[in-house]
Amino acid sequence: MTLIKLDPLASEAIKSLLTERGIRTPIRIELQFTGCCDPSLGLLVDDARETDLVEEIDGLTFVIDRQAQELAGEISIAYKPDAQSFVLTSDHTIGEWDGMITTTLRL
Amino acid sequence: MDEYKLFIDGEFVDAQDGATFETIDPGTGLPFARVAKAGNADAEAAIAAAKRAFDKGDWSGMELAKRVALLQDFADQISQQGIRMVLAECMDAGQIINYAKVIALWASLLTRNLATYALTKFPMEEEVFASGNAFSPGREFVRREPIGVCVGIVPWNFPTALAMWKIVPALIMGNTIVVKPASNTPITALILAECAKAAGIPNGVFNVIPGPGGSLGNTICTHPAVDKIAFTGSTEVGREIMRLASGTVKKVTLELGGKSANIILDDADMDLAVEGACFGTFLHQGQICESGTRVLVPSKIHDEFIERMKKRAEEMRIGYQLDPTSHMGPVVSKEQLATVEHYVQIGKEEGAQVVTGGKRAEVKGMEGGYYYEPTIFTNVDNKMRIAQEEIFGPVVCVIKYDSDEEAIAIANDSIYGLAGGVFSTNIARAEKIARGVRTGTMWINNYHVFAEYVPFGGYKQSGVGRELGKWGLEEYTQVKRIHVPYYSDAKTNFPFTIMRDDKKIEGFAYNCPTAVIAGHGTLSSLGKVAVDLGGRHALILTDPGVRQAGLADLVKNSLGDFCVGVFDAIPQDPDLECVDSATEMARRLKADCIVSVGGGSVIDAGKTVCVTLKNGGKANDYINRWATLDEPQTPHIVVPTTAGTGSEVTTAAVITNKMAGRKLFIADSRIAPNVAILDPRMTMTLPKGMTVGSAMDAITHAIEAMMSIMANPICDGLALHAIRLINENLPIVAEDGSNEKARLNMQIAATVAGWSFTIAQVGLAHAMAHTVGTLHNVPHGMACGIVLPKVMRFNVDHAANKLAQVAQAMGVDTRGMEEREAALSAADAVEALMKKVGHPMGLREVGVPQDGLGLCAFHALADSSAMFNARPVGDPMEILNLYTQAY
Repeated sequence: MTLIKLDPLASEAIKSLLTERGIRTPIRIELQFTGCCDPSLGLLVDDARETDLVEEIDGLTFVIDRQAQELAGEISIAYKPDAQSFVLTSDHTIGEWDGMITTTLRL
Repeated sequence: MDEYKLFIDGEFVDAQDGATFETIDPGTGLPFARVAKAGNADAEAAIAAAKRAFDKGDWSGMELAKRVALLQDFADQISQQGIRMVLAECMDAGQIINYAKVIALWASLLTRNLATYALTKFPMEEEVFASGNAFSPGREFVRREPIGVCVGIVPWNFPTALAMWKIVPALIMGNTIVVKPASNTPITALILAECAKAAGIPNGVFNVIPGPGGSLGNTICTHPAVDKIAFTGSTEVGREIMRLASGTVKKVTLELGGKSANIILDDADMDLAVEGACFGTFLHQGQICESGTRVLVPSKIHDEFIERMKKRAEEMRIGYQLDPTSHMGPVVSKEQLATVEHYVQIGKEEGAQVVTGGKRAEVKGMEGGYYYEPTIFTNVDNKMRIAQEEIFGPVVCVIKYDSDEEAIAIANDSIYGLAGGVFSTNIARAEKIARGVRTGTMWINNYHVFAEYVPFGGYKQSGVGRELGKWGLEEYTQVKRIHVPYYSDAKTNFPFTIMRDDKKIEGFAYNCPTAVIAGHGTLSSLGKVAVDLGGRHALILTDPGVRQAGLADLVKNSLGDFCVGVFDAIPQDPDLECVDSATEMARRLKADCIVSVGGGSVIDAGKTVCVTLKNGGKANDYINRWATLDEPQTPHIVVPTTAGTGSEVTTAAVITNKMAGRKLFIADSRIAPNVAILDPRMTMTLPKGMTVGSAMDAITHAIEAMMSIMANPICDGLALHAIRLINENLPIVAEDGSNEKARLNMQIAATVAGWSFTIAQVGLAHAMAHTVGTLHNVPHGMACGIVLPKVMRFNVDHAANKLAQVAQAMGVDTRGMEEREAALSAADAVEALMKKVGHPMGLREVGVPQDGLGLCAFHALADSSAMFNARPVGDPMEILNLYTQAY
């Protein structure tokens, strides 16, 4: 079962950010609030926890906690070069603005 | 299960693709209604309907009183649907019934309060009586007009309230609106639509399209027919909306996230503070953007506070939202619940300590619901994620601090700035802290209080713009200024002269309101004049010389008991500092009338004192401001002791501004003195030098008024008579200063010349005289006299006819002369008069250094008087040439 679909542009963007900072830690996909109301999916560099689900794609390691994965289903990560940010969508929407909003990779 | 449709163009319709969705009761986890799901085609249809309705004008063009009447009917319909709305709010959003039961009442109040306010108090149209532009006088008025098609995007936490915050001001102001309620909570917006239809609000004015923001967002935020977007929701979404809206420069108001600090001071009433902290953070399960989710507590009361807050939190009853005994209900969705749990986990990993809660709540019989226990974290550092990121659930961070300054710093250490609180028994201390925190709302000894007439909105990344109150109404209007000029005439339009060679202005407005009382013994009229002006506490302004000559005492004696004091420190060139000192004295003595006794310096200082005394502040607040006064100023009576300035009747005051390095003006018809008393006894002791110098000031006024591009027949007539009087009487008073009749004629000449130039303006001679006066302390009249003949010759080809008349007024027999020759003879006649009365003929005689002339030329060019000169002046070298001739 794939947990994550990673767009090639998004892969490149993530690798570039990690290389710039000299970071090799996994990328966590998490549930986040960005102020008032709907939760959304976010990306941040974080250590894996024992209970996480782990997926390696294109040389990158992604982690996600089980509850978030159960809620979201398969997650797609795309990249918007003009906004220099990522768009995360999922089989089951987390918040009603999924697909429109963008998020950055928190380092 | 109840079914609800979209509301577009006055009708309830299915989505064009037939899609629907179910809305879930978060207390049970079960669906309770099916709702049509709008797609992009429906969004387009709704926007088109709103646009048609706006353009048609039935709503936007409707008289405000009629719109208000329809909105009052809307409010009544809401009242009728009250119970439905309350139940829908509870079941859709999970609000406890104890809160939601007032929703319909509140919605009706909001509508009526704002509608009546708009009708009776909001300035839909305002006159601007003083525009500040002296060069383009006319009527200026400002209208508030609707913006157009508005989109209101509403979150799920307060679906009715936050929809009404957008619907009501939008409609009051004549806009049309498309409301997109949150997908979690669509019902109450659709009930509001039923109310709008029942009230008779025209089709298309109010539309509702429930549907996912992710798919509708792009359409509603970029559609060219949408003029304004009002959004309440997350900062992430708000940012994207702002970005999308920027493509067509839509107006945007955003109310976004918060991480507000509730600051408990060490002198707080502990019971109140604990209750306020819990209410501030746990109300509606913490799902409120302005919640006080960081509670800042002084170290010395921290442990006691935590113990009491923990106890209070654990007393909260968590239950199904329709159970009237519930204090807290469910969070809105399972995703919300999972995210709250995730942040609690983050907090633990960051080293914060959970003192209570931190887990799902069990509610018997409601196992499918989304309940979470009120959770308190201590040992929190403000840099932690749980202190910086909004956790939209019942989770609070308690942070220690040790001083008021530290509390403010912690409060401000956030990307958000939505609200906050201060709890203290010392209101002054609490207000000081409130002022220091950068947020849009601060509650003192309270929390979560809203009211229709006060604004709400955020600093920093908490949003843009304000909702509610007049500020909220303003956000739904455009501001249009309409100008109707005094003169609809190409030749009288002053700015038009920028692009043409002929600078002459044809039309004019003559407004010289000063009453003049002239003659021997007219000082006696002072008391009556003061009484007629409503002044019974007169402050005399004068200069040391006039005081020493005993003239101020003559005035003081005439005023009798009306005189409350004498300020006798006005210098030769009055500056801002002396005006402030005189004003301070006037304030201290509660003066209601100013009597200026002296020459132009004193009178100009008096005018500025009158403005500053009337309007408050300092003289520097009013200088270099033209045509800004819209009401009468402090009454001003002038008793001139010279015969030259004309300031007793003019609408300008000249004050030296040392910082600007030049003289600056107030120019306004409202600073013309109320009364000028020309009693020749006041000028009898004027020394010959000053008599002659001030006379040259007067004759320069008259001659420059005639040459000015603003010259007109009324002012010409006044000027010519002034010139005649000076020509005839100056030699007499120069020879015999005791000739009272000649002295009176000189005073009258100066006043008449004042009436002339205050309308027609002066020119380059004054620009040059102002400059050497400021830079080299040359008395003004003397400077005018020295440069005047040079300027007359400079202007000859642009004012030949006028100068020829001046020559005649000077007694030159111009019969048989060509016009230019006659014009040049006027300058000769002035020089002859100067020599006759012993006036200095060159700037070197009055101490101006030759190497200073270059700088003078540049400054003179920048003097505003130069712009009215008959011959256009743009080259400083031309002015330097004139200074050199006058040297």
